[in-house]
Amino acid sequence: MKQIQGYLREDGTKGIRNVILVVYLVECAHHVARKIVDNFDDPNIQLIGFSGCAPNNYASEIMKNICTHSNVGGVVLVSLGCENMDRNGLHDEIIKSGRPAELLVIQENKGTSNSILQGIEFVKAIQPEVEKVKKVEMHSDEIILGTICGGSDSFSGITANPSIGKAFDYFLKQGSICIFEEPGELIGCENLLAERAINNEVAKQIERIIKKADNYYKQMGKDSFSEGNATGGITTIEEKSLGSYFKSGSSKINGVIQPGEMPCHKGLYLMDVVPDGDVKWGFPNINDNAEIIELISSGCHLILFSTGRGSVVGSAISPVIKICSNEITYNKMEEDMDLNAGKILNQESSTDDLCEEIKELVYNVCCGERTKSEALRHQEFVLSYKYFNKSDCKY
Amino acid sequence: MPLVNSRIKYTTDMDFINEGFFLIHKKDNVAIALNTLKKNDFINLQTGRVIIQQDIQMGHKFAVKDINEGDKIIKYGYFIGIATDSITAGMHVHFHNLKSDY
Repeated sequence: MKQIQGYLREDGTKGIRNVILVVYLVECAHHVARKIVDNFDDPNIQLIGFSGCAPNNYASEIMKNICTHSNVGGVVLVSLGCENMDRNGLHDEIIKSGRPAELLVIQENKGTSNSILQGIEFVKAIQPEVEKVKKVEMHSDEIILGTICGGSDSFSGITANPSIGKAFDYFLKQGSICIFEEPGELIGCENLLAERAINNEVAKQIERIIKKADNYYKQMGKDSFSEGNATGGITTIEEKSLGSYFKSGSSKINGVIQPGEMPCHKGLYLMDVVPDGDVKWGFPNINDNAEIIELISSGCHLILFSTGRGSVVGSAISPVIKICSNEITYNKMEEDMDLNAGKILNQESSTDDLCEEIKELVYNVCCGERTKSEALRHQEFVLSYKYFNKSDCKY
Repeated sequence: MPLVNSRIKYTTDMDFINEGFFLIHKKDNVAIALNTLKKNDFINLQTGRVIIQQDIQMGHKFAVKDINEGDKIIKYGYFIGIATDSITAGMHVHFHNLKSDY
């Protein structure tokens, strides 16, 4: 196995990438930020942002965590000037984390063209400091892994998801932190999950968030069960949930976390992505990338993404490894798929073999190998409005 | 976690004459078609031969044993819903004869 060399951050965390983020703090600053990034055409200089102007604690918190993520080396914030996001507070937090950061306010920089030029200068100014960050040995017990599925089919639960579950079990034994999510996709599995809780309190929390998810989706009038699931042969929500459940492996569940919450201890965590309180925030996750960003905001270095119908996405900040559940999709979309779990269906391979392939690729990607979506320059980023009661339970 | 994920593990107890299906767990009373199964195709399980009663699309479920109305449908070794009709081995199992208990 290769030795991972991580980028050492001031707080002691280590990253597997060293990206510079150019961040628009409201949609009005998006164009300027994009022009700054386009000027470089460099996969390590990435565009992210938050469109909303009205304030939202959840979005501010996620943005702070993303800007100080271990895969991030430096940040240029692009503000219009009158949006509600606390740009100075965010800038201070990034500086406090030991990262170089610049704040560009369009209204104070003579508008669009001059701001683009100024932003380019800012990126150039922080580049040397970002590049000189120290690389040190990084071990399995410092890796944080997340998993999601998108475009599942009836084979996801037999091939890709149990293979990811086995990889989770392996990394947990090595002392890594692993995070899985979407209580709405686990409706019907609450008893199985609660049985795996490390204690009674965690078991109760698991049951509570799945009940909340069920209630939330019922009020929205649409759960995660789609027409495509039915066409693919899935009949009940329990059946769909079980397929998704196997991604979590068989280890004990150490806790329930909210997006942006960093587990302090090693272990396996379930992320609650469904807002608290009244149903007024729209769908809990408007797309797969919103979920990926929530996982990354809790520290994930790398995402294991299971897909059956064939997703093409990657993400800004952290690499995404796509594991395809069937050979037909894999053959059609090989350029987008990192691993083919469909081999399990024709007995060329077992979930144990796939788990080995996942482990090897995780280590290689941690060592700098580009995933398919990274090589294709996928750098999606989605952040929307939500509300959570502040979690009083820290792990 | 009793899930047996790999077909390979089954080769000792199961007879895969027909390669077109996947029985995930020993307790399951439904299996999954890996490609479209045609009416009158048959598969051999250790428990006996099952004759496919109607065309089954890829990814869809069919009964591997006779199931009574009100019985639990088991897939992955777990409960996925209740039979709303009596189901003969080899029949398609979907919305017309299976409902969620949630």
